[in-house]
Amino acid sequence: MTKGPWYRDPAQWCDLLAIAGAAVPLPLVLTRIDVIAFDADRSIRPFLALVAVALVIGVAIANAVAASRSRRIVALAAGALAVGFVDIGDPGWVTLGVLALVALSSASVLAHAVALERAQSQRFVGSALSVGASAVGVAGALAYATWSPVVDWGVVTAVGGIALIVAGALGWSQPDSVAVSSTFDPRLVTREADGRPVAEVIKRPIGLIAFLAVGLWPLAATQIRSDSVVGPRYPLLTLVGGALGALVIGGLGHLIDSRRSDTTSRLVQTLHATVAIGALSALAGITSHTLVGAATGWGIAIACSGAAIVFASGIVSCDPEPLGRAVAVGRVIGRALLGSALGLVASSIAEPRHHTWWLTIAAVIVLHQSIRRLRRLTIIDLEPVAEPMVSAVGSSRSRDTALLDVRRLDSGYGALQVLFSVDLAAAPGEVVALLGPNGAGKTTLLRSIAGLHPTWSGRVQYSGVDLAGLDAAGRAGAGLMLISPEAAIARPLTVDDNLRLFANTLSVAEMRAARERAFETFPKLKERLRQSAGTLSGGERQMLALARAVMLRPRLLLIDELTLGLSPAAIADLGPAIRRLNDEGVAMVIVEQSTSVALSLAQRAVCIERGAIVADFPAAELRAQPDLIRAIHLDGMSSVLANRAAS
Amino acid sequence: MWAVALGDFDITTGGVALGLFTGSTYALLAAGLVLVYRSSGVINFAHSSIGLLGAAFMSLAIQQYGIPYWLAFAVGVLVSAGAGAATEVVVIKPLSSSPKVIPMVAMLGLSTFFVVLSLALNPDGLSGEAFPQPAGMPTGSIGSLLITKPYAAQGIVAPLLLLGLGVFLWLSKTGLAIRGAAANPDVASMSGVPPRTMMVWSWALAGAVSAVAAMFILPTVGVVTPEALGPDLLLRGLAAAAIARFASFGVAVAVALTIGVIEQVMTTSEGAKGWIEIVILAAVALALAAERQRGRKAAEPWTQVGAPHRAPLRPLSIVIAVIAVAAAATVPMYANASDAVNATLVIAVAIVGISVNLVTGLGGQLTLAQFALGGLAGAVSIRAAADNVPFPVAVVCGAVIAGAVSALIAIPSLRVRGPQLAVATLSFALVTSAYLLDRGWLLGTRQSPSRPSGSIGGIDLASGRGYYWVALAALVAVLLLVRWIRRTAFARNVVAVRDNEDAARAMAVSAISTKLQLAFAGGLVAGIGGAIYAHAYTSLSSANFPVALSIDAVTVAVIGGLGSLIGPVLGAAYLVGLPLFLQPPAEARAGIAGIWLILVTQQPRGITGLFDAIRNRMRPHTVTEEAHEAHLEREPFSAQRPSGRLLDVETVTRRFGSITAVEDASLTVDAGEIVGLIGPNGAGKTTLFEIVSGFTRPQTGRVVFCGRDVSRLGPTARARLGIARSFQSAQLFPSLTALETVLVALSSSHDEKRARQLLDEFGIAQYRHVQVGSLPTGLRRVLEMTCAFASSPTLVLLDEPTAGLSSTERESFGDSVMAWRERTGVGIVIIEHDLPVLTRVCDRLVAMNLGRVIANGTPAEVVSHPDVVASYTG
Repeated sequence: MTKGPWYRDPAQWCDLLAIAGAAVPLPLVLTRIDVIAFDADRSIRPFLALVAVALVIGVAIANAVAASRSRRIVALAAGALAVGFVDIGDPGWVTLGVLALVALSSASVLAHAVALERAQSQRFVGSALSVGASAVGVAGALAYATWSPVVDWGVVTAVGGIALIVAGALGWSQPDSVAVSSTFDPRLVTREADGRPVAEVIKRPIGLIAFLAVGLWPLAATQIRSDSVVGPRYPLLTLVGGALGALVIGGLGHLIDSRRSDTTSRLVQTLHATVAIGALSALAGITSHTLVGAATGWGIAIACSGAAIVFASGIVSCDPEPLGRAVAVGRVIGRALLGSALGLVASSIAEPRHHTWWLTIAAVIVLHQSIRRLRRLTIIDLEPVAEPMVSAVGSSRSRDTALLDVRRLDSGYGALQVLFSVDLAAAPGEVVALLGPNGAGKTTLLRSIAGLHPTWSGRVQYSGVDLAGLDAAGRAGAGLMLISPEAAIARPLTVDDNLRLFANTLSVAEMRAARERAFETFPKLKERLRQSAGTLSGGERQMLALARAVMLRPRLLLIDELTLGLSPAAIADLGPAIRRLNDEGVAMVIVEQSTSVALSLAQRAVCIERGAIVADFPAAELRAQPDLIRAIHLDGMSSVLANRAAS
Repeated sequence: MWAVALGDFDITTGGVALGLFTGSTYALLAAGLVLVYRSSGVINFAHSSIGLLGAAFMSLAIQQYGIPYWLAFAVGVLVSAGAGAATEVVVIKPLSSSPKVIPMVAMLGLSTFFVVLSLALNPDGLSGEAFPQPAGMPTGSIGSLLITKPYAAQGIVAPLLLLGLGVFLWLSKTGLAIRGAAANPDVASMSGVPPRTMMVWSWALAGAVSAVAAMFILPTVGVVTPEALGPDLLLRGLAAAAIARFASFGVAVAVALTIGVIEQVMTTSEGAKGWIEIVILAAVALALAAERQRGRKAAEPWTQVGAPHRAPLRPLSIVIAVIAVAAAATVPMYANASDAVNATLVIAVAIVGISVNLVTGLGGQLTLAQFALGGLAGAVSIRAAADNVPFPVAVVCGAVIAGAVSALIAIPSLRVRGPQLAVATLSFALVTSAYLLDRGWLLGTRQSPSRPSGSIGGIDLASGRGYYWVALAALVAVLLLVRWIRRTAFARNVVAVRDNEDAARAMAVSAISTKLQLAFAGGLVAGIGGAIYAHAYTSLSSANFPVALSIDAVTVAVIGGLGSLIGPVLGAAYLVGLPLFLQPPAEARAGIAGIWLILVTQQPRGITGLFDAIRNRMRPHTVTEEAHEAHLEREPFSAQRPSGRLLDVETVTRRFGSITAVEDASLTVDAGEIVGLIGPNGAGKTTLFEIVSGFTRPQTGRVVFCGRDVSRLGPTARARLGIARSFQSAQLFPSLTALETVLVALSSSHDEKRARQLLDEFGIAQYRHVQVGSLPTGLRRVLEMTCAFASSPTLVLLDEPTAGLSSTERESFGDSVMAWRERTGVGIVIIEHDLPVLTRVCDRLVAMNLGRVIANGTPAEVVSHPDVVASYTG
């Protein structure tokens, strides 16, 4: 983590700009809410309204589901289209604000997605894109505010923007970003060496300042307009509502603090409870059909959105990577705003027809779902990593030469920890045999690396890139692939369908070549094309499983128990294929019941016992010591090694 | 042109053609259901209503905006596809870690939501005449039958779409990715195909297909009710999918076409109303009965729903209950007659909801026929009361018959695990309301129920207000009855079977009789509710028992909280009471459905789950309350010490497809002997256990236990003879407490003292009130061993008992095994990878490799046997 003043770190600026950019349209919409909610003349035909709502829901869902950039572009287009529909009904300024909002949040998400998905060397482009999108958003909103014919939008926007920037800055201005997160995690505070109870000191003031800051701008905004439309009570009520919201959130924070033990869930719970309260207050306010109700409701909602930003910053500031933080911040805010947009669009459109009920419910669901995804997006690594983190882009590191670099990996099932701080590395083209008795955690380790099993903590780096944000399919696409008894073949499908499934991401020509390679390596498969994969013999099944690697040529292949239960003849068929893959430059980590098979293939042997790595030999050295080989399964490697050291 | 007369039915070319046309729309529905089931493992009960939403959009687009038919068609299809995808993302995904029943119930609620939404959106445009007719379709006639545009579209477009769907799924890359992700998500991932996305695609595709079906079916139906749009439309497709076991698209399509033809033929006879439902019910039941159980299912996460626990009744609870009942009893004093009747109906639905809580909450079986059973009971009760049978006796008569019928319809699904019972019960519900209740010997066209005579406080019990008291009394009686049931050993066995059927069978719990008894109890309670409901009306016909009510009963139970006693009452007050008393507009009804959907996705335990969270905060943990209790006396064992040869496995062979798991393996165990079974993974050790304990039948060879050939006995019977086993996974029954688990294993009435003593001997007495699901692995292993020894068996099979244990725990494991052998003289077989532990504990080791026994002798001999070393090192 970068030391020194926060403003020295460009990444912090990137984060801030992302917040500001995404947040600026919010005031535009919120300050018009009374008009939206109470203007009885507006009557949008329900069909258009529903299409619009459906499309906005579509955007939210697409954003939530999308794993690829192309889909996000579609989402963006759908968002614009949605606003277009609204615009048919109401060519007013509100829709322009919503347009800016949806487009901006989508753009920021898009930019962050680019940043996330690109390899490290290209991350800079992503960051630049992100900053650019945010800057364009700010500029556009300011321009709009300047030339807007309605009221003094310039002031509104400026106050709103500044307030949000202040709120965001509060999350970052503390050294190491500990302040905000420590509000919610005492462990982080005690880690601060001197053990001062930082949390107690700063908890309430920070919260209060943030709430007031966020509560201020609607006050300012409505003050300007108080003479014309709603009268002077509105700002007062909003302020009261804001204070009320602050109280509720404060109490909520305490409640969750006292109940939850692990950091992520506590923070995420706080966040989504806050957002839910905000959305529900807004809902209650609108449906009350009274000025008092609406003002109070929106006051609480505004306070909640401010708090949500602070909470979110608390969550993401735990991420050691600045870019990781930026990504998470962008996503949180993008989604939160999208949710609010949805709620606003829904309620404003629906109000004349009293559809508010279920539309707002839909909005709350989508919002809630979006926030839920935070669990997957944030990586909280409470234990400091041994080496100092290098945040600059493209710097060289000693372990950069490793293709696979697993550090301090913990994992398990439910309450049962299986892996204990496992380190594992593999160089390009190297074959590593992972040896150990049953139940040692070999399978869990391989599945964690492949992204099929969640890790508790620790890092998996693959050709210099941290894989935390990448799902299993993405990892396979990047050339990191697992063949295991579970992830071998799709049994109900035919052999032909299996082969086509393996090649699903390839072009037609590539696929044809890949199939030829598979048939060349395993001619038997060609005879079995129409047969269902589940009816193949054991050896043929494994051939089919291995055909995936032959076809896709990964850079790193993880193999779990390929020869399990096979006859020696079948094993003899598979060995050459694996060797050939290795000759072509495929690095491997092999788990094998049969130690001799594993050692005949590997250059290095790593022994694992009860979830921890206990030894690391050149394969040749282990081959020469039969008593050690025997120890792996029969006597226990750690005890034998300990005995040796003693004697 | 040909025509055949078959009894009352005429079979003509035209009729068959028309049947094939409608059948092809059913086939579209069925294909969508299979698609969704294969990708998510959920029966999509909202399938047809998702299509309806698209149809409503299309109709609106054409009628209000004059958009051309086929353009509007595309819009409708897209809307439904979007709704399908949204359903997956918003409802199915968050519920993916719940028992499968929960998302299916959520789908039932979503179905209501979409139907109401469609009607609100387009109140006039959904009925037959108003719904737009497909443009550009030819019309004509086959024989005497006129083929109108919608039928032509069914006959032309639907098969084309079906073909297109087939081509897409089998030939396109995306289609292959969808099938691949459904078949094995891991393999899909490893091929770069994100399975999550493919799941969303499946739902979207199913939604689109369902929209087409709805658009072609709607113009052919007359009056449109929520009923006709929901379950009726769905059932045909659902039946076809269920008969195809949700696995084969081809079978599903073929069955759907057949159903279409049969239905068309049935319409040629006046007297055949409801017959098609009977045919479907029979076909579904037959398909279920023909299904073979394949493989072992992983236990579902039922702890979320919970099990009844025998917490001591606290004075506060009693006071609250008494006050609540007293307050409820005052209603007739101030309510008018119609409000009192409404309140009575809420109570009746609550009682039926309580029966769902028994069958679904306790037993884990989704049933959609509870109100239909109630209807039967009501009809019987009315008939009996009309013959001057006293009112309570009449109600009980009806209830007992409902219970018997309930057990009867449970029979086909006994051997099958999974959601098929839901389909069978749904078709039963449709048969009941469409056919059975209309019979002259039940309700006939219309009945006027009588009510009990007498009066309380000047209010006549036969009046609407007075009858409320009768209903309330019935509710209290049912609550007390169910509370008692939930505290019996029977309820414990039910939960054990639900949580882990295999482990329950290994502990001598008969899964079949448990399920039958549960079905009977559920039918009985539903019958009481149905009878109370029936007598609340002054005039009654089968229309008062629509299928939607059976679905509501399930919803009521889920909203209230599946695991709780009082939950259905709250759920009924919300789901039935609110609409009855407030008379909200259609949009607000959709809102009511929306709110409970959120509730269920967020809190699987429903309304009572919300209260539990508060209560748990107020009450400190009681785990260690009795930890300091004095140690219990050790009782000597009454069971005889076994002697001689206990087990003789003679050259058994077991193949799974092309793989030989066990080949010519023999194993003997004498009394008082501890045998270790070792070998590399896949050597066939666990399969040998399965053969000995009766979960798998060997293809050759036999198993002799205590001189008796037990090869043909099932696991429950062998457990009763004295073979106890533990499982590798040590899952046990996650929602039972440790004490309850041991009580299940004891299987001899309420011997709680003995159970406590056993827990004490194995050193886990202080955890007796902790749910097994929250015990750490080490303790769960100990508990499983406690269970294995609890029933005083003569032979104990332990499968990897030390996996996941720390080294000190392993040591104490060895000690307690040897101590038990000394005390009881049992024979013990242990599968274990930890050789140091085995060599210390075992008298003899047996090594296996590739299904064969390769060595047998003292530990020292076996461990140094060259074949054994080779089998490990390869």
